[in-house]
Amino acid sequence: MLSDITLGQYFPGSSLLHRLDPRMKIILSALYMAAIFLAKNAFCHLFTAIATVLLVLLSRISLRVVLRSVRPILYVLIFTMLLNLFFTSADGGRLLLDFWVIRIYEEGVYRALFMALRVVLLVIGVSVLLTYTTTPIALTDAIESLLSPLKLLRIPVHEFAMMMTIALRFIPTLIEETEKIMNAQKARGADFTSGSIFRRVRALVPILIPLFVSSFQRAIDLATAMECRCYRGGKGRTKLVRYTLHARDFVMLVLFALGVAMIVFGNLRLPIGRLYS
Amino acid sequence: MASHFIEARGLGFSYDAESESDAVVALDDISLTIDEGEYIAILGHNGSGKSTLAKLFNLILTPSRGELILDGKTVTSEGLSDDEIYEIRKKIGMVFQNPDNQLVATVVEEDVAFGPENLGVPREELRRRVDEALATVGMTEYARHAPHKLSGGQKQRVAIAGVLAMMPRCIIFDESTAMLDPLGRREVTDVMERLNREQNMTVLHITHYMEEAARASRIIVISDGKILLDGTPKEVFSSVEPLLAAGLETPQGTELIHELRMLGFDLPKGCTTVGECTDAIFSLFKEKKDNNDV
Repeated sequence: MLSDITLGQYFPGSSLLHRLDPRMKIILSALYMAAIFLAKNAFCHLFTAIATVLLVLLSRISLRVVLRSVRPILYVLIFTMLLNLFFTSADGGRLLLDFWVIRIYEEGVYRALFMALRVVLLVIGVSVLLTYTTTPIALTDAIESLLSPLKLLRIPVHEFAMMMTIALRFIPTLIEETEKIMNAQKARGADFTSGSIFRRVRALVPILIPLFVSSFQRAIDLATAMECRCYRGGKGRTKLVRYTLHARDFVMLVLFALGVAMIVFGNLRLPIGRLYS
Repeated sequence: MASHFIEARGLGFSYDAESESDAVVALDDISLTIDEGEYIAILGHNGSGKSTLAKLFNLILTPSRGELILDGKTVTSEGLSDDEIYEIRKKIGMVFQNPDNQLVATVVEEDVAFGPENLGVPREELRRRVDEALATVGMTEYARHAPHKLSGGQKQRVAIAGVLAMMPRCIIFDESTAMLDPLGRREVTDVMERLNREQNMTVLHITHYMEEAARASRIIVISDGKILLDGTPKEVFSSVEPLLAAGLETPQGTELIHELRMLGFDLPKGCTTVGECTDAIFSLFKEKKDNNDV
């Protein structure tokens, strides 16, 4: 069933990561990404890897689910590894393999491995910190709150967040509608599953047109309903849900900051081997 | 002169009013008064203008002719400023037909909070209003649910809670039961009745279901943009001929009694509920049996 699609892949739970303030989680994700990209040597990579494992344990999300998040990027991963492997040359250390046009240097192997590690850690870390443990609506609220200083520059932050919220609200409704239309067209003999790719794409047109028409109708209805409920944009609005920062948020912030500091220090002081620059 | 909550004087509305030639007259010369605390059903077949009337009361539409007085504020074809409209909408809430197209948030309680949030109600008060509104419509246990997982009747009750949380004095239900199954319709009309009885809320229910209209204390029948009948359910439903002429059916029981009366049976006029009709017919038969007529 189409409607079983869960948006943003949120996994309900009550772990520490679930309970963190969503705004703090966005900040932590930024720090995390910075740490991953700052890491330059084996020590630092080991450190980020351990930190990521700790995060996964903290989130209490099953390892299988976490590893599944890597699957969609598998091809990109392999491609990056191959690029790094074959195209690292110049002062690439010892020559490991020289066959026809292929030359593989020691440095290339390390680069490929570290690049892969980085990408995997990045995907796992951000999934665990944000998408798996935060509801899409909390994320939207957090983005609105973090971007609110931009209101001074007359950037419509509230309107943007409202659009996100409405989109999230209507995705399941529109999926339901799509199913209904598909069934209606099937009942009239439409065939979506056979024929060439062009045929199949063409078969989607009779689904998209009614879907668009009804979406516009919905948009008009919703706008009227919102106006009737005295909606006048973000000005003077209060909010039912307010996020408050707890001690745990600050503890995590300090830990993450320390982690980044550690990486910077590690880059400078602990050049274990000359793995790669 | 006692002032009414809503008063219409020679109210008219035409769609496409810019060009006089192809303007479609939806409402013509409507005059009526509605007092606070009334429970009114507005009946009419499709295209009779009943929804247009509701949209005028909430200022979604601006009258083309005549004037409309909403809680002392006069609205003419000039319309009102946005701020004035905002003030009126605080007092007169509206629940629409399609339950899906009026819920904004992805969590029930946040949707209920949407209206009062717009009004700038402080947070503690917001919480209290949301909880009370959800309790009134009996949806407290669904506060943290996603709206799209609810049934039609439940969604519509959430929509009602969303209006209630704004603490209006009047709620207009614009065919709010039309897309629901019988159970959902029962849920929603029960809430309407309770709001009117317990909170003295002015309720305007626009519908084409006779059985629902019969629950109101007053019925206004609109046909071709004009008021055809206006009175208690008894009065309105006993005027069977004009109702049929307007393309409306009377409740089945009432119609049966009407047919029987036409055949010369001695039955009372104006039975609207099934119970009343059964009693009337029962007592007639009993009488006849006692007289050994049958």
